[in-house]
Parts: sequence; C-alpha cells; structure tokens
Amino acid sequence: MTGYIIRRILWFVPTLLAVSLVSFAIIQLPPGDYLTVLEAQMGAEGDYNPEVVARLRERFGFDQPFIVQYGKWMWAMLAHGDLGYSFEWRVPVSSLIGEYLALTVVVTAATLIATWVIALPIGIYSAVRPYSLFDYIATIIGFVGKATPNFLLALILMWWAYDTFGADVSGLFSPEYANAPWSWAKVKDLVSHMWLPLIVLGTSGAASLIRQMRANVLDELQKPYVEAARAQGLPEWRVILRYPVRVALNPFLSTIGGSIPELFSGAVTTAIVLNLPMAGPMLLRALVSQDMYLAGSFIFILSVFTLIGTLISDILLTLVDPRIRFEEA
Amino acid sequence: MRNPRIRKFSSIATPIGLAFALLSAPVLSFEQAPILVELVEAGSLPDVDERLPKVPRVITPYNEIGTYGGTWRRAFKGASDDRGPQKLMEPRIVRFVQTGPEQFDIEPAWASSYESNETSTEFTFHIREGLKWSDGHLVTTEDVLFYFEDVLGDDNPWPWPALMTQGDTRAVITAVDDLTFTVSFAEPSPLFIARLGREYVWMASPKHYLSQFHPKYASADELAAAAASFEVGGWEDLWGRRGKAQSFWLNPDVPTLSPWTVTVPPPAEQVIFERNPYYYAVDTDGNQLPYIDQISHDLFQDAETLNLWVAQGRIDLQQRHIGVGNFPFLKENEAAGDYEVVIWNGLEVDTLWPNQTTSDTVMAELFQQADFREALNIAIDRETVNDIVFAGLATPMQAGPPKGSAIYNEALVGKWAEYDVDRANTLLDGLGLKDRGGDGYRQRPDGKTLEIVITTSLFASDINMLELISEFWTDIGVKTSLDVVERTLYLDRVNANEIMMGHWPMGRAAFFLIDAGSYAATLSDQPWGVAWGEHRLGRGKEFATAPPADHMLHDVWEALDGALTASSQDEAMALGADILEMHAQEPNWVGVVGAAPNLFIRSNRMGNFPSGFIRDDITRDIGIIPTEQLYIKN
Repeated sequence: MTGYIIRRILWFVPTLLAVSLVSFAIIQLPPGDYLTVLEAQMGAEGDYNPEVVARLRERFGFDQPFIVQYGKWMWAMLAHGDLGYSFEWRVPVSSLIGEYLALTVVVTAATLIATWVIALPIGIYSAVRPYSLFDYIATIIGFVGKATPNFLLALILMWWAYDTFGADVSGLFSPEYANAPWSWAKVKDLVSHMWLPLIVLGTSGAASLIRQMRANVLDELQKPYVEAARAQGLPEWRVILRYPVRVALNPFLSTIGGSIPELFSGAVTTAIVLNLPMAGPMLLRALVSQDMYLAGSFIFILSVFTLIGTLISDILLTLVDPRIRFEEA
Repeated sequence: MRNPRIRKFSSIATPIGLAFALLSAPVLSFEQAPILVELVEAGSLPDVDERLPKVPRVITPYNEIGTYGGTWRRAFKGASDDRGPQKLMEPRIVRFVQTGPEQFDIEPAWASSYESNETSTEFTFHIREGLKWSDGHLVTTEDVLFYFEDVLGDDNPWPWPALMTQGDTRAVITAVDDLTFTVSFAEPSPLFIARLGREYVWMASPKHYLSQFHPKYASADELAAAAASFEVGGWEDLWGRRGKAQSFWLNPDVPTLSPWTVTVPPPAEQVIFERNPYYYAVDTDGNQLPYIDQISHDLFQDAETLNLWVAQGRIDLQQRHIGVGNFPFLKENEAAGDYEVVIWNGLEVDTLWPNQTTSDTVMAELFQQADFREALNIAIDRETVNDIVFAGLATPMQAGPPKGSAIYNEALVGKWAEYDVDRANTLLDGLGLKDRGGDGYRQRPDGKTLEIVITTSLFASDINMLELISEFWTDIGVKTSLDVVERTLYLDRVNANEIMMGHWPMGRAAFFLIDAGSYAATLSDQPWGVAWGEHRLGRGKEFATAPPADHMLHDVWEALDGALTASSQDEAMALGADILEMHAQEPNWVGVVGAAPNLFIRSNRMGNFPSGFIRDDITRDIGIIPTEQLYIKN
C-alpha cells in the first residue's frame, strides 16, 4: 500500500509537466497575445500608440519562441516557486490567486459535503422504500434540480431573494467586509452569504447522487448476501448500512477526483452570475484577455488538485471495499 | 456650415480665463471638510488656507452648495476597466465643461490660465501659484520638465504621445520661470488645447517622488530594490499607464492633482479612493472641493449583477456598463432602489463598415460602387430596428456626428436613411446583380451567390440588430451571414485586410477633428477601406494601396492635414466641415441608428448632478461635469 502511494505520487511529476505544457500551448492557441488584447482596448479608448506595444512586447518577452517562454515560466516555478506575472493586473500571480483559490476550496468543499449529507440519506431511503410518496417527491425534486441549468437557478433565486426580502445575496461578502481583514464577523458574513452558492452548486450534484445511490442500493438489496444477513437476525438498519450501502458507495468514491475539477469549472457560470470571488471567473477572464501566466497557473493548480483527488478516491476505495486489491506490477 | 459653439475654444485661450480667476480672487475665507478639520486640529495637516493655491479654481455647483462627507458607491469590471474610475478624476491641466444645451467649452484646471500666439505654434501655460501635489509639495515647472524629459524621455520605456509630436519633430517645452512654461511646435497646432482636454497627456509628474524610480536619478541598485518592493520584474514596469509607481490608479503613494487619490488599489474586490486634502478647487462660497469624502468601486463580473445592484440601491451614480436596453427594468425599480434614471445624450451611431478594399476583389469592387452602398443602406428599415432593439429611444440615421456635435452636417446624417426596398432592388438590378438561379439570392458578376459576411465582436455588438439587418438584406436578395468573434480576432482580421464587413459604433463625434480616423479610413474598428487607411498610415503593410486617383479620400486627407496645421481653430473647423460635406455625397458606410440616450443611475441622495448633457469620450464622459461638486445629501 505505501509503495503504491509513493509510486503514484512519483507519477505526478511527469503528468503535471505534460499537463502544464499542453495547457500552456492551448492558452497560446488563439491568435494574438495579451498585447493584442491591450491594443484592442487602447484602440477603443483612442489611446493607441504602436511604440508602447512594441516596447511592452519586448519587455514581456512575447517576441521569444513559445518553448522559451514556457521554459522560463516552468523554471521560475520549480526553482523559486514563482508562478509568473499577471499582465492585466500587474501583480505577481501568486499574490493574486491565493485568496481566490482559498475561497474556491472552501465553497467547493462545503458544497461537496452538503451534497453528500443531503443526497446519501435520501438516496438510501428512496431505495429502501421505493415508489413510496417520499420517493416520488425526492425523484421529482431530483429531476427538476438536475434539469435546471445552474446559472438560471442562480438568477431565479437571486431575484426571489431580492423580491421577497430585499436582501443582497450576490457575492460572498457584504460590501463593508469586502476589504476588511479576517475576523469573526467576516467569517459570519461569509457563512451568511454561502447558502445561495451551496444551493445552486449543490442541487444538480445532489440530484444525480440521489438517483445513483437509489439505483445502486436497489441493485444490492436483491442480492443473496442481504438475504443471508437478514436471516442471521441482524437489525434492518444495520443490514442496510453495513452491506448494500457500503458496496453502493464505490462509484462515488471513485469520482471524488473527477468532481473537484467539475466543481471548479462547472461553477464558472454560476460564480459569474452570483459575483463570487472564486477562481472560475478569474480563470475565464484571464483566458479572454490572454493573461497567460495567470491562466496557466490556475490550470496547473487545478491539475494538482485533480491528481490529489484521484489519489484520495483510490485510497478510500481500498479501505471501503476490501475486494479491490492492488496488483503488484 | 453653422457651428454655433466653436468660437469658444479660441476665445478661451485669451485672458478671459485669467480674468475669471482674478475676479474670484480670495477675499473669502475658505472652509474644509470635517474629517480634514480633525486632522488640522490634531496637527497632522496644515490649515486649508495654506493647502489651497493663492487663487483656487472656482467651480459653480449646478444646483446648490453641497454638504461634506459620504461615499459615492459605483461598480467596476476589472483590471481593464481602469479608465472608468479614472474618468471621474483625471488630473488635467485643462478640462471640457458644458456651458449650455449642446454647447461645451474648455477651461483651465490646474493651470490658472493659458494663451496661444497668433499662429497657434506656441502655447503658454501659467501654473496656479501655490498649487500643491496631494502630499503637499509645490507644483513647479520642474515637474513639467520632468514629465517631458524623463517620464516621456529617451531613457524611459514610454514614448512621446502623438499630440506632442509633428511627424518626427517633438514639441519644445521651455520653463520661463517656476510657474510659467511654453510648448512650441514647428508647425501650427490649432487643435492643441482642445486635444489636451481629451488625450492622455498629463503635462506634469511629481518629480520629488517619482525621480527615485528613474535611472537618471537613481543607481542600478536602488532601481532593483524599488522594482522588488513593487513586486515587478524591473524598473521599467514601474512606468507607463499601468506602471506600478506612476499610475495613480495602482499606487497609493504617488502624489496626484486629482480630487481623490486611491487608498485601496486593485486587485481588491472593492477599490477605494479618498479625498485629496490639497485639491486646488473651491465652490462659490469658498468651500474646498470635493464635497464627497470617498469613492468605492465594487468589482462585478456580469451585467445582470450590476442591474441587481442598481435595483437594490447599491449604486449612487454610474453610467458605464449600464445598457440602454435595460431601460424598462431600470425605470421599474426606481422607487425600490431609491434612484432616478437620468438621461444624457449619446453621440455614437451603430454602423456597418463595408471594406471597400477587402481581399475578395469582387466584393471590394461592389462596395466601391455608390449604387451598391445606397441599396444596402435604403434596404434597412431603421425605424423598426430602433423600435425593436432600442425601445424606440435612439434616432434612425446615417453615421456622422449627431446633432449636438461641434461640427454637424445635416445632409450627412440624413443621406440614404429612408427605407425604400423598391429602389434598392432597382439599383441592384441596374448593377447586373440578378437572381439567375431562382434561389432568392442574387449572383455576383463571377457567378457566385452574392453574400455579405458581417464580422462583429462580442465586445460591442448587438446581435439582435444585426439579425434584423440580415433579414432586410435577404429581402433584397443579398445573402447575409454573421460571424461573431472575439475582439482580438476581429482586429486581427482587420489588420490582415481579411474582413468583408465590420460592425462597430462610430463614436468620438463631439469634436471629430480631435480623432478623425472614422473619416480618414484609419481606425481599425471601422474598416471601410483598410488597404487605403494603411497606405495613409504607412506602416509597411503589404496590401496597402493608394485609393484610385479621383477618389474622395485624397481630398479628405488633404483637408485633414490642413485642419491639423491650420493657423486658427476657425480655419480648422471650416476644413472639418468640408470633410463632412465630402462624405455626405455618397457615404462610405451603412449607419443604422444612433444618438441613443445614455442612462445614468443617480441615487436620490446624490446632489448636483445635471441631466441632458452630452456624453462622449472626447469630452471625457462623466468628466465633463466637475465631479468635485457632486455631494451626498444627509
């Protein structure tokens, strides 16, 4: 087991290098670069001076070949932990993305936990009492939740909250806390703003989770070992939790790794609509303005999270389901 | 041509400005904001009489004397939206002001006065005596020379702006004494003062602060340390529009001549500006301006978020990013958000630009035919477009400076703007463009289907409008398709002359001579003759070609060169009027609707904000009103 984990971690290095190379190349694929975007802005403002752009092009090293730019970026990251420079915001990437990433992790983790806490019990109950009134209600809510696009749900809820309470529900902080240093009051403000993103981001995830859980448990309930457990005289709740549910959990655990980038990127439209200071909108903005080191760093960090997530789900799988064994290579 | 408001520009350069300033010479005793009184009493700030220049600029409030304090809340869209906040407080030496309905003028701001010689080659500026930077240092001609010789100099990565050069020759700046300097040109520059009200040329930089970041005054080690403390790669990154030391939007420490200075710079979610205690203007009662203590700019990403903020009463005054299409929603929520929608007059015209030199030579030849352009123009029912897309609030018109602009030509904005499908069909038939295949589309001379591809960028366009236009053109047998691309791709295609027809509003109409690219075919947003424009710009593009010998563009360019070097502003204005007349014969483009109202959200607690002004980039958008005299009602 330990050897397996170490080997997996060693594989991170080439994987990350490949991912960073590909993502850096993709960022550079559209025509032009950050300075073309800047030229466009300057043109729109009647402030265009080709000499400024030429000097900046040299200054930022855009006149160098792709592989040189990539090499410099990678080297600075590996040697000094320097993620590069955001051309648009004119600050080092590392000082820009810290808080955005932290808030993204908080919101993502909270969403994931909330989804599980809500969806698993409902899914199990629906499976144990299929075609009951509760099952139908949960199914309807689940399908509606799955079918409604997140951004639309966000807009509707925002409007509803405004119309009913006159409350400002966008963002993660009230204006008076936006720049404030971290304090207990700011944390409370954050929590009071979290419910809307949690509902919006969690609904469709919870909906599919309920359906999957229900189907999995239903399958397992038919199997002879459940029968056997019942015959042994175990209490019903223990039979269900101990055996079918444990087996039914497999598919979820194996998707933890995948659900992290999904929450990151799936949350982009929602985060834009809700004006959340999260990584998604900033990544999108960086891509549109071809702010390549900022965009590249986001994608790189996202890849790290995904790899770690996949590793965690693999480890959890072996713990939950002893039938899964690692083959020695 | 009648040009009612323009004589003003030249008269202002005479001692009138000075006389105005002297009249209001301080017999008054000055008052200041309560938060500054506290600082004065605590001994951390000199008293207001010592902070103000000997003769402050006197600003007459629009409605009433305001009260001090409060925060002006607005929203901004990110790093690239820096002009929005800046336009509220540009540190200009002269400023546009509106003097009446459809009339504007230029006034000295941090200069007490200025004058020009007879031939418009030399301009003399007088700095207000006792004028101070926002940190209390005196402003002198040293700061002016520093700006021109060092900030824009050869040792610095930032080039001279076009306004200060004529061809390869730079203007010569001479300090007469501590407070007087002259700007001399080799050739006349009649529009210099007007352009100074609009171009990004600040005329002075705080030498006592910024020289520590300049290689002429600091050692290599000091420069490296400065770059490190600002977290940038080298000292060059400290300079320029978004330079970490020079930009008054990014650096809280750089002294400015703006009414407010940044205290929480981007990339904060909420950018904050606070009052400059040394600001040089007072109201008519001698109260130091600005009235408002603080401006906060909240970062938003989606237009719908901003709309919701408006409805919730979270915006005190804002026009930027407020779309005219949201007019019904904004009006509905006036009571709920405790605000009013105040209308200013926009001067933009939504326009399609047929590239008469496009690489598809058959289309280029067609676009060059006046009959073809007329057919495209009169096939559009502009009234319908206005009703459907602009809620009937805009004006159906041909593209040209709308009414209210300094130079206006009634014939141009009316030309080919009447809906007449029959005539459009007759014109196309006359050109031999017939539908031979019976598929509803006409054929080009080379037998292919007559198809126009409109390229538009997500940045500016209104897709609904373009779809309506496609339908109108399909009705006369011209197949029309839309290509919606990212803004940089749009410019790439223009710069490679690959665009067939562009879409972008014609703007900067208030005084078009200040930026006449729309009429000279040299603006890449407005590609109606890309190869010709490149010929004029002489940037060495392979496809650049001169227009045919008898083409009107030759006359336009000649008149434009004449206007830019005329010896008086009146002469320049007359040549500007000629240029519009030339374009009024057979317009080179397809203007659709324009002069749409621009909507300001003004909360009911915001005082002294006028309605019915002109909003144009030339006159600096909202900056045409002195924002210093806005106030928050208690």
